[in-house]
Amino acid sequence: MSRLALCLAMAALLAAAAPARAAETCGRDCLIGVADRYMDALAAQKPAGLPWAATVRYAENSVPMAIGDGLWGAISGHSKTALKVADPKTGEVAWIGEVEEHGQPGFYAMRMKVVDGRIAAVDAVIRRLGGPPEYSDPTTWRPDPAFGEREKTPLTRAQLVAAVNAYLDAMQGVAKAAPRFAADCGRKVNGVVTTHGPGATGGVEGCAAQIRAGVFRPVEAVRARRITVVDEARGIVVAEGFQDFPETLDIYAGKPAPAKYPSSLGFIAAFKIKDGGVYCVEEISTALPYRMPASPY
Amino acid sequence: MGRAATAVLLLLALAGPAAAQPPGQASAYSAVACDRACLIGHARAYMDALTHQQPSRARFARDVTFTENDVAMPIGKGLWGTISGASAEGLELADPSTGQAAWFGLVQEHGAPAYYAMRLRVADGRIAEVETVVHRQTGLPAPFGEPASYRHDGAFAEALKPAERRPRERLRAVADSYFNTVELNDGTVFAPFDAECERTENGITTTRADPASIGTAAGIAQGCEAQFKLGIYRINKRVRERRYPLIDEERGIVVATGFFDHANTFDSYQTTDGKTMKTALKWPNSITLMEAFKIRAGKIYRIEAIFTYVPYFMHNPWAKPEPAR
Repeated sequence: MSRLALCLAMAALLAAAAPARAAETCGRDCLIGVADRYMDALAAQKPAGLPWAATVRYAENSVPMAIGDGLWGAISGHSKTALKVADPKTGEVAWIGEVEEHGQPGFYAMRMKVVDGRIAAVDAVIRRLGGPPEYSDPTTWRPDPAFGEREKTPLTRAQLVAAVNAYLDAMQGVAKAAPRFAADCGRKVNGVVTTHGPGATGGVEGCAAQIRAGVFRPVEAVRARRITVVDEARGIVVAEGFQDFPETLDIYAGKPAPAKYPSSLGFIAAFKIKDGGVYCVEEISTALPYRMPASPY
Repeated sequence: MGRAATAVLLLLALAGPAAAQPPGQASAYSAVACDRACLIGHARAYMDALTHQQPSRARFARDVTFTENDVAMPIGKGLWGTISGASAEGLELADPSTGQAAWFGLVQEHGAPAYYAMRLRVADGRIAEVETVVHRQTGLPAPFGEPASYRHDGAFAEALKPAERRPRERLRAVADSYFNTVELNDGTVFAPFDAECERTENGITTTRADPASIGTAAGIAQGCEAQFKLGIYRINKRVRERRYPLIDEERGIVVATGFFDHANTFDSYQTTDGKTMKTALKWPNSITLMEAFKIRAGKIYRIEAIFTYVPYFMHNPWAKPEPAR
């Protein structure tokens, strides 16, 4: 029996364990194994063989719906390459990569809650072709290799979460926010590099320089934040929420606003923290109605 | 008065007002507090306040509920923060029996046009509910008419001859039969269509050959019924969370809201003439809509629709949630 299969079998045997211990029943490999099985079942449009919890919550782009509906009915494949982040302490796992619907690629980020080895919740953000915001070719997207590196001097969970919140606070203009950035910090949104080159937000290059220049002034709030997955050994945090753009001004700091109408971006993003600061960000985000409510879990 | 009669009266008094009228009615008698002119006055006041970005120019109830594209938010947010103008004339509709008014037209946000439909409810002389659909140019494929040529059909304002009028229950049923026809459109027509039926979607006529309607359904078939007989709207898996908040028997008007769910489990399909059509998008999406129907002698004569894309299976907080099916 493979290590993964053994792990899943163990998880099944421990299905009746007390909730407080539940998350510990599925380690990193186990969680990633469940996520991989989920993605394969999704691509095959066959949910029946998966280890579902008695009550399952599922949402796509913040809309609760039934497993089998939405992407489940349109998907035709998923990428072999993915950024996978697991948090055995909370039983959460994230999978960020590419999916195809009738052959058309799109960006996909999924966060899953596993309880007693069973899938209890899945929250997905899907950025399809068409409309704003940033969008590059999903088939050429690759996660930054830094996400695979272990940290020599890992930060605590609280320190990692604080680093991410400081960045998100700064994005929404919190005056006291003091984000820290590692050298060469970079951010990608749907595969587009937004901190360097032609895709740089507001035409300003560099994570810290962008905050100083106020390029995120159109962001009213980074709302309904959830820090769902933390990998202390690798210094990774996965966050989700909404960036609200009221667009009450159509010019910010001499630059045109992203749009002339209000909207929100629903996002799932992975942050790599290195040397105590944000080193790189992989964000999958999609346009939603302004002030879209968060999925209820 | 005997002891028994006294006891009955006492019991009735103890039962209280809640049991004094049918369920769902606050009073057993309701005088029309705000007639058509009054309701349209509130709609105009709302549009005036909106375009001036000054909520104080309209009379709102303290606990007014406001939604924009199915998201609840405070008055003053959303379009209130971006609007720079509105068309001088809107399609104005009213239903004094339910205190509802509607306004369909064009707005500008920082000068950029958007199609707009709004319905409001007036209670105790104040606007208590506002529900809006705003269709912007986002780059997704959807009808978007030339603003300069956007006109409302005069038929919506005309009172019907008595013989052409129908009870509100029948008007509602006709509008519902339209959505039954749209849902799973496979050539089966449940709705009664007037031979001259026409439909406008986001400012474009989509049932009549017109230079502006190139690329719409009118390019495939002309006429409301003919399009449905051809089954060109087969992508509508569900017409969900249907509501009919405004009905005007005198003019034969129904204002409806709901969602067209495009599950897109297939990306091509055959029409009833054997031709193959491609879906506009390959991924699941929903459109949220507000549609005004003009029903003459029990048949659909005109439709004006404002709709926009929202995430697939989005819920409208005004509606009762419907489970997936």
